[in-house]
Formats: sequence, structure tokens, C-alpha cells
Amino acid sequence: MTSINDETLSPAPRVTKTEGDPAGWLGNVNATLRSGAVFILLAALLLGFTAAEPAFANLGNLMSILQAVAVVAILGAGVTVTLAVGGFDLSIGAIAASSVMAASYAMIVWGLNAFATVPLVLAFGALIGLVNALLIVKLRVPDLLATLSMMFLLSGLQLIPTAGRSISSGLILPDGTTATGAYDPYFLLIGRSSLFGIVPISVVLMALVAVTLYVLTERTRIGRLLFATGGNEVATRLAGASTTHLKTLAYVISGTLASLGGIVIAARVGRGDVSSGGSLLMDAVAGALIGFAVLGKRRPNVLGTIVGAVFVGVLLNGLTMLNAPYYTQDFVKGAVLVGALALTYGLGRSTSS
Amino acid sequence: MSAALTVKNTAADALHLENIVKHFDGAVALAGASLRVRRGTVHGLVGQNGAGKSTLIKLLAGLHQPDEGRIEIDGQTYGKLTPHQVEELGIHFIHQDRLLVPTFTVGETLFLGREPRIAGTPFLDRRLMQRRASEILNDYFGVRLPNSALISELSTAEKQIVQITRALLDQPKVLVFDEPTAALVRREADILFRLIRRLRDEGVTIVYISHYLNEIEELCDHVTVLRNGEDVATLALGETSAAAIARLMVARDIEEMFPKRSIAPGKDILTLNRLSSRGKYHDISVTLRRGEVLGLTGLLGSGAKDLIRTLFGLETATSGTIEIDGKPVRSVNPAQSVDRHLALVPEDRRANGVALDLSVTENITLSSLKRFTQLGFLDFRRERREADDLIGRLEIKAAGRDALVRTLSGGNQQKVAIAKWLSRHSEIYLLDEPTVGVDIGSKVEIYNLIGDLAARGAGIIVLSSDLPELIGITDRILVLFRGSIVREFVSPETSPDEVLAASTGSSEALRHVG
Repeated sequence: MTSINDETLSPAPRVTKTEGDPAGWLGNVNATLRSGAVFILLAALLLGFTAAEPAFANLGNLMSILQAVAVVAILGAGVTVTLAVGGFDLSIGAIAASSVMAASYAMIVWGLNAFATVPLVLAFGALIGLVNALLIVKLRVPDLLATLSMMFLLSGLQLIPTAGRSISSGLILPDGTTATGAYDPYFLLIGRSSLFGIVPISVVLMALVAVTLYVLTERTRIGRLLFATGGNEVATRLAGASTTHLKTLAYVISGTLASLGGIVIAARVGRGDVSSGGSLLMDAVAGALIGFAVLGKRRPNVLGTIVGAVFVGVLLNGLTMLNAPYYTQDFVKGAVLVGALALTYGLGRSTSS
Repeated sequence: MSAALTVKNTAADALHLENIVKHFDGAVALAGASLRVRRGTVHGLVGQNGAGKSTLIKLLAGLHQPDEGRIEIDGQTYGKLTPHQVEELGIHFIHQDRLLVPTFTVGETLFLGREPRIAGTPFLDRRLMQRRASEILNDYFGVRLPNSALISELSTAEKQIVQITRALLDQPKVLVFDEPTAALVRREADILFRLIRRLRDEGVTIVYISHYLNEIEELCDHVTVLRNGEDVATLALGETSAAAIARLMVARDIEEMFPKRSIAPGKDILTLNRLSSRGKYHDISVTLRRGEVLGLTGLLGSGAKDLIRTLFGLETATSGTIEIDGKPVRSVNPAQSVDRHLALVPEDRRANGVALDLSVTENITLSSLKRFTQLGFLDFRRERREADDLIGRLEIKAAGRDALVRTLSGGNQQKVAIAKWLSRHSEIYLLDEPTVGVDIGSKVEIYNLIGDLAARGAGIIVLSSDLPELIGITDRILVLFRGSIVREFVSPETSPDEVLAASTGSSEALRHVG
């Protein structure tokens, strides 16, 4: 079929600007401040903590901050993708926790090595994501309800194989026998070793996830269509894109990343605790929401999520060094989140209306 | 200010807004507009988008304060109005349905904030509430809506009835209707018009805002035309016509409204052979040629919408065939239709046509993204060039290609919805009510665009219930009634009355069917 040569449609004068910026350069400064606010605050925090406690700026400490936020950042990247399609995945914390149990079970009870365990656990996460997608896309269960029930289901499921016990070497199984396997040392490297002795492997993984998802969401056609689905699902479908595939992809990515986070936790602690991953969901969601304010994007974005997670990590680490008690941590996180959302929705409004 | 003021009684004015000036962030919204409404009349208020209608109404509602000018209600002058005060004065506003809370019941909505109590107790008097509600519902609308029904379960028309009933419970002096028929079918609109006339006869003053000039002509005693923040005329409807009003609104001649060009039709591009869908339409045979603009009209349930949905792959026909360029096709989803160069501009543009929180660029390239992608990666430079090009050609007025579509006017949003398909090089355009809620200036631009597309060899089907528009921009019109094509008109040789008669199934009109 020949295409219409629409290049010859009646040409018209370009009308792209209809209103000047009444505040002039002052408005530009404001916009710059707003979009850079998180970075400016981050720099201020780094300087402030270094001044108060020079040990803060040690390379070792900075790496330990990154290591502490790696899991949250990886999960947050997944949250970002589900937010982009206009969904929400409440099950990521539970997927991470059950992935810790699954990894431990695979190695200790089944005696698998690291090279079998990692793909198996990632496939487990992807499968959960697929089930979430099935509930949401095919059965049209609202996303919050579907993933909330999945969270419930997984918190229960992870207890069943071991009759509620945590998993470590020498675990006594429900049938009375003793498990013979152990954590593969190669698996433990993921959580306990560093590249060139400087950069922890978990931070490397975080960076890989960040770069890959950044490129996927911001630079590819699929990424654009993910945001379009979140922007208007019907319009995107009418434009010829398969929104069911796109939403499924988002939940599969989210589930897989959550299980990757679980693998990192398991490799760090070296055992399967039934209560691991308690605050992961909240922290990851907070990171993604703080990310809205980064660069003034006002929509979910991977770079923002990573920066948001790091921001919280720096703040908590610095406050701990200054002897702030541990029980103030949740309050601090909450305050940062409130501030970031105020920045996104309240102060950012003048740019759009 | 008024060119032909025919309302002269001073004491009998229910409302008198005089020389109102209002600025927003330095931009002039109202530049000395006056509105004088005589008690017990239906007063129309018309103007293009941006003419100042909604600002004027928001000032009256106490939502904004005027910078200059004065507001007189029942002969009493007010410098400043609050929404509460306005309600005390008996002025009520009927907006489109979005102001109702969907999870509330009818009863909760009707009596919100003024619930009757059982005397001497804090308990709600549910029986009194139900009785008062049913009285009005029965008397004025002849409908029964239980107070326990949820707002979300109601149709658009019923939601509007609830809004009006809520106002009537207060025995209003003035009722302001803001685009009340935008989401109603003709029959529902007729019921509304009867109600408005009855309220007027009972002494209620009505202010009626609408884009539809035929409604103004039919319903109003007087009409005030706003243009660029000023009232350019107040006319008595007996002495004017819809065409004259439209001229005042745009200060341009009505002949320019429908700039239909004559284009020699080319080859067949889309052929339907005895297409049927059980319970929706049957035996539809149509041929669309390149360069042709085909009109399609019919009441709700006529099958016209279903036919369009089938052509785009959103529904499937139960029998019959569709041919594109002579080749039989069967699309089962929109993606296939898009690949076959079909384009659908859906009716509810904000819900289905554009993504409001994405930028103009992102919307324009949504369906043609593959062209701006290499190995999956986007080529931003070429994408931006495409966006700038279409923004210029379609004269889309936006703060820039990165502006969110939400910030555009209705007409410009619609142009973005169409630009998306120009970018996809689509050849068969299915336009569903393409100018609903679009101001007259943008309408003309959209009509021109349709003409351009036809001239370039596209085939276009326009589904519209705006009959003068349909006649003005199409070559021929097919009328559907209860799932069948009952008449075909050659556009320049017919009239809105004739088309309307056919679409309502009037036997007079159907007599001509062979």
C-alpha cells in the first residue's frame, strides 16, 4: 500500500510558543533549583556530614552506604517500571523475602550450586511477576489488590517447606531428616566480595540494573510505550501497541528484580531467615517516589529512584555516625519522602499550569 | 459595549454583571464584559473557548473575584461574593458530571451538608429525605431513583438529574447550566429542554452555556455573545439566527465554516460487503474511495459506533467481508488495523484519544514510534523534528513540543490526536465526533485538515451527530437506523432536517428507500 505523501500538506507558520515566561530568568533559576533540589541537598548532606565527622568521607564508608542501599535501589527500579505503566507492585518485598528462602532451600536442602540456584531464583521471581500480570491483565483484578494478595500468599508460602523454620546448614526438615547441603561459597561472593577489593559486587549489580533499566525506560521504544501505557492505556492500545504485553513485561521485570534483591540479601547473610525483608517494600517505594522530584521529572524514572535510595542511605549513615539512635530512622525516611512529594506536587505545579 | 441590547428593564434583572475586568498572571481573561439577565428568562451565553465564558461564570459563583466592575444580584450590589453567599442567594450551578462523588448514594449527594434530622435527635430522617427526593424526581423528571442507588451506577443523564434535583431542593432563583448536553443523547437533551422551559415558566431564571448554537436557538429567550473577554452583543432570539450568532463569535462568515473542497474521488480504498454483527448492525455494504469524505450518522444504538469499532478491529463482525485496496482483511486488534494504515480518532479524546500527562511529542509519535527507532533505541533528534513539523503544519498551539497535552485547549488536543495518525502515514481515517467540545476557530482548522487529507488521497469516514457539520464537510452521508443503512444522501443536496428525520426512523423519510 502506498503511503500518503503528507509532506505536501498545506504548510503553516510555526506556532510553538504562545506565552512568554513572565518571571524571566528568575523563573529559570527557580526551575533549575527545583529540578536540582535533590542533588543540591545531597551535596549539602555529604559536605555537612564530612565536616562533622571526617571519617564519613572514607571510600570504605561511602561504599558501605552504597552497599546498604543496593537492594532497595534494585527493588526500587522494579517499582519504577510498574509505576510507569500506571500500576503498582506491593508484592516485591515478599518476593525478595521468599527468594532468600528459595535460594537457601535450593542450596541447603537440594544441594544445588550457585550456578543453578541464581537462575532458578530469578525464574521464581519472574514467574511471580507473570502471575501478578495474569491477575491484573487477564482477570482485571485491580493492581493494588492483586499484588497485596500475592504479598500475603508469598509470606505464607515461604514458611511451608520448612514448617516455619529459618534455613541454615544442618536444618532439620519436617520429615525428621537433616539437610545435607550448604551455601555455595561462590554464591556468598555475591554479597561478601568486592570488585578490585573496592566496589562491592552488590553495588556493581545495582549499577548494572540502574544502567540497563535507565536505557530501557528512557531510550527505547518499549520504554516510551511503557510510559504511554501509564499515561493513557486506551489511547496507547488504539495507537497499535499491545498494552497487555507491556504491562506483563513491567510486572515480570519487577518480580525478577525483587528476586535479584533477595539473592543479594541471601548472599550477604548466608542463611534464610523467615523474617528477612521487612521494610524493603516501603523503602523501595519511598526511593521511587523521591525519584519523582529528581531532575524535576515529576514522573517515575529509574535514575531518580536510584538517587532517591542513595539519598536516604547517605542520610541514615551520616545520622548514625553522628550517634542518632536507630529508632529515628523510619521517621527520617518518612520526613524525606514527605519533603520530596511536596517538592514534586506542590512546588512543581507552577511549571505545568 | 452591547451592539444590540434588547434587555432593558432594570428592576427586573435577576443578574447584572457590569464591565467586569479580570486578569490571570498578567493575561486578560475578561476585558470589561457585561451580562444582564432578566428574571424568568432563559439566557444563553456563547463564545469560543477562551472568550471568557467560564471565567465569567466562576466570578458569579464566587470562585474568583473581579479586578474591576460590579455584580448586581436582585438589584443588590456585591463587591465580593463567596460560594456560600451565592448559594444563599439561590444561585445554583449544574456542571458536567465530574463534580459528583461516585461512591456516594443518590440520597447522600442530594442532601449533602443539609441533611434533615429527626426532630430532637442527631439521627438522619431517611424517610423525609426519600419523600422529598421522590417528589421532585417524579414531578419534574417522571423518573424513580432510589436514594440508595450509587452515583457510579447512574448514567450521565441520571447524574445530571441528581445535580438538578439537588438544586431544586433549595428552590433556586437562578440556575446556571454549563454545557449540560455535551454528554447527552438527543432524547435526553429533549427532556432537559422541556424541564428548563418548565422551570422558566415557574419563574426560575436560567443561564445556559453551550457550544451548540442550535440549542441556543431552540431554547433561549436572549443570548449574550462573548468574544475576547468582551460581550460583543446581546440579542433576542426572535431577531437572530444560529448563523448570525456564529458570525459574531468568530467575526467570520459562516461560509468559511465548512470549507469543503471538491476532490475527484480516486480508486476504492475500503469496501464493506454485507457486513453484519448480530444484534448490532446487518448487511452493511459500503464503498469508500480515495479522496472521499463519507459521513455516517445514527442515534445511539443505530450500530454506527459498532461499525466503526469493527473497522478498527475492536469488535469482530459475525458475517460479511472487509476489503482494503481490494484485498480482503480481517483485523482482530487495533495493532493490525494500524499496520493496515487505518486511523481511529475516538470520540472521548481526553479518555481515549490522547495521553494527557505525556508531552505533545510523545503523543504525536505514539503510533509511528517504529519510524524513530533503530534496534529498539529512540532517535530523539528525528522524533523532535517530526513533532516540530506537525506542530507547525497543524498549527497546534502549545508552549512547545515538550508541553504536556493536558495544558492544551480541547481543539489543540484533538489536533494532536489527529497528528499522531499523520505521523503514521495512515490512509483510512475513522473520525468519531471529531469536533465535540472544540471551539469554532479550531473546528474550522480541523475541517481544513480533513480536506487536506482527502486531497492527498486518504479515505475518510466521519461519524458525527452534528448534522450541519456533517453536511458541510462530507461528500455523502449514510444514515443508520437500528443496524441498517436506511438512507444515503448526497451532502450538498440535503438538509439537517432531512437527515435527522431519516436517523430517527421517521416513516416520511424512509418512504424513499428503494
